[in-house]
Amino acid sequence: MRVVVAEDSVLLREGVARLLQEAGHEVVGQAGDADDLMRKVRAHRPDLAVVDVRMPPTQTDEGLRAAKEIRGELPGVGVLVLSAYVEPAYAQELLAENAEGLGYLLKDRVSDVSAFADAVERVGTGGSALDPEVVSVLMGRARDDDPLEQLTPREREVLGLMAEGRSNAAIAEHLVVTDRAVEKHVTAIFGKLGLTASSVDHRRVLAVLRFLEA
Amino acid sequence: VSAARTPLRRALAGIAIAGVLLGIVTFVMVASSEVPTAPLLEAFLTLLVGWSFIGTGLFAWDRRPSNLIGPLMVGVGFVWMLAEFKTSDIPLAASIGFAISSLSISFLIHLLLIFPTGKVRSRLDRFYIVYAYVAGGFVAGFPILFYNPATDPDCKHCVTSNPLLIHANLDLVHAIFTGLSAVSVPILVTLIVHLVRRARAADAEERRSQEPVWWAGLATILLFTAALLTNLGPESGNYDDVVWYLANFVIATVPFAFLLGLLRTRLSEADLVAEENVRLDAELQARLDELRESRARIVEAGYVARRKLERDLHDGAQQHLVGLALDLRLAREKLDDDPRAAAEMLDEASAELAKATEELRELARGIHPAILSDRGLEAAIESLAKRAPVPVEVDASLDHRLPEPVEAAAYFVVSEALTNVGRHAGAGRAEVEIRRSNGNLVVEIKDDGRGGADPAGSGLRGLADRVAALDGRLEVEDPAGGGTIVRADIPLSGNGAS
Repeated sequence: MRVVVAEDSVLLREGVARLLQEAGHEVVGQAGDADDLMRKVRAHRPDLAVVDVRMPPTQTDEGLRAAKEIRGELPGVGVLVLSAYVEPAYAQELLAENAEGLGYLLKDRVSDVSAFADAVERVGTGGSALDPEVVSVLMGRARDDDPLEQLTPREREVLGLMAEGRSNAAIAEHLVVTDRAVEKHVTAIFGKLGLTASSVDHRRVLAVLRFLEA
Repeated sequence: VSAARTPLRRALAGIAIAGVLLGIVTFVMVASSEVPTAPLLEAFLTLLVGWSFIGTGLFAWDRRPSNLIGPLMVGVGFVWMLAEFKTSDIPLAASIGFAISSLSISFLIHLLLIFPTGKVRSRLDRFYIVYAYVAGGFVAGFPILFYNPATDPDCKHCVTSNPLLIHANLDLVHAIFTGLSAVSVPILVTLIVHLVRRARAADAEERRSQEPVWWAGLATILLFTAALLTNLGPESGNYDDVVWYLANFVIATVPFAFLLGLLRTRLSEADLVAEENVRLDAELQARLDELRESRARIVEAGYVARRKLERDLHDGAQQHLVGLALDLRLAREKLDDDPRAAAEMLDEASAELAKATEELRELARGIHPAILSDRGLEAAIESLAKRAPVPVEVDASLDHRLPEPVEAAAYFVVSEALTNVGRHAGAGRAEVEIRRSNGNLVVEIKDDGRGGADPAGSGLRGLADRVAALDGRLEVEDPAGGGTIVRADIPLSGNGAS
């Protein structure tokens, strides 16, 4: 997979690049700010851009804005946003209309090599990734008549993994169960929560997110 | 700003305490003296008159701070009690009491003439006032320098010595008193005529306010005249004692007459302005005091926050990093002999590192959440609501961003209030409302818990200071239906909004 990395901290940028290379990807460009990123993405047309949320010049949300721009302009380029904040609002903003080829991960996640590699793989191939911590804030939110209480602990776990953007096969592997068992859980969850099931993972992420947000 | 804390109120309270103490001293001194014929009665009467004047005077002073009437009434009370020292059997106290024994009459005449405005109305008035002080204060006090009680045949139970004596001359003393009385009686008569004329010329409005004082003034002057006449005439039994006791009862009612009259007086435009100025001054002073205190608390809170931050960093992230360094070193040593153990240690190191980063992230969020500066108050509050321990409904209607200090203060008010909801309130849910109202930002957090939040608790106190620094107010209420309402009202203008 061809990747562009945008991150203003050189240390972290080099680290992420090395991780990606070790995972067998090709880092075709490295950028230190949003303009540089846009230039390199347009020039290289990579499969994925790994983008820091906070970059020069304003050090606020350049990454989010660049992600929207890239997705609008070059639908073939997935964008994985790395953030220092466990902030559902940013993730929801990023994945507001379409979760296809988009991801929001905490920077800490890069140290969890396999999880990071999974997310890169998913987002680079048009899937989605949402950080488990963000998912846990969304799921852990106190509500009146919490609909999640209808779910069994296992189903909650599956719901969380769906929200992270994982496919049924990945969930099955993660929970060490059969694909068939996961499918049953998914059907049960969608039935209990009154959601319309979708076989496309990034659509499923969106549906789950909208449900959790409501 | 509560009126109870103004500097004027504090000063008045001090005077009241002094008055009470002087009253007690006087009472003990007079009641235990052998000089008066009826020590207990005299002591009681002295206290009655003294405290009447001081009490009503303080009240008048508080109500009409720019009017001299109040202070003068208080002065009468103090001088009245001090003058009773003359019946003491302690020589120095007796001499001092004797020297100022007529001064209270001077104060009273002054009071009568300037009532109710507190201002001298004419040159004739000024003459009477000056005369009252010269005659009552100076001339009447003068004879004590020549009076030796030991040689006075009229003085049977008096003290035996006079520490203020410079040259004993009883004739001179009698001459001064007789002369003073002879001059003063006609002047007093003209004063009475003057006051009666003024009373008759008064319109209905003035009459209303001056009425109580007329008879009080009459009583005072009668008392003075009676006292002078008994001084002039030959001694005959206890006649002047009876006059004196009766007069005491009358005079104890005088200050109430003054107070009543004063409160009946409608204030003139200029007086109103003066009153308002005094009030504003007091308010300003109280506000300055409050600001000084809250500034000190904000500085202190800053130090406390830094110390806490230092502790959190030191005990949290730093400890994890030290542990991590140790794990890495151990793993390095194991690497060759026992790669499995080394791998385990590296896993531990990763876990330590994850904890350290998480702690740093939470710490950074607590100092200043990025979403607040990036997305504004509404988004930041929504985010707080998601993490709250109970369901929180957010009702926010802000159409655009607010000045940064206002947003930050409002955010921390909500954050602290929601933390309290989780910690103490035992609440099942909470509501946060944010709206603009009359150029202010109003933030209200309601819960359905058991209430009883302590507004003076350090968290809320710190928030109140933070809000006050922006000229806002923070209120904590326990409404009748239960729960707690925390409300912050922060003005936008002057805090960066146009």
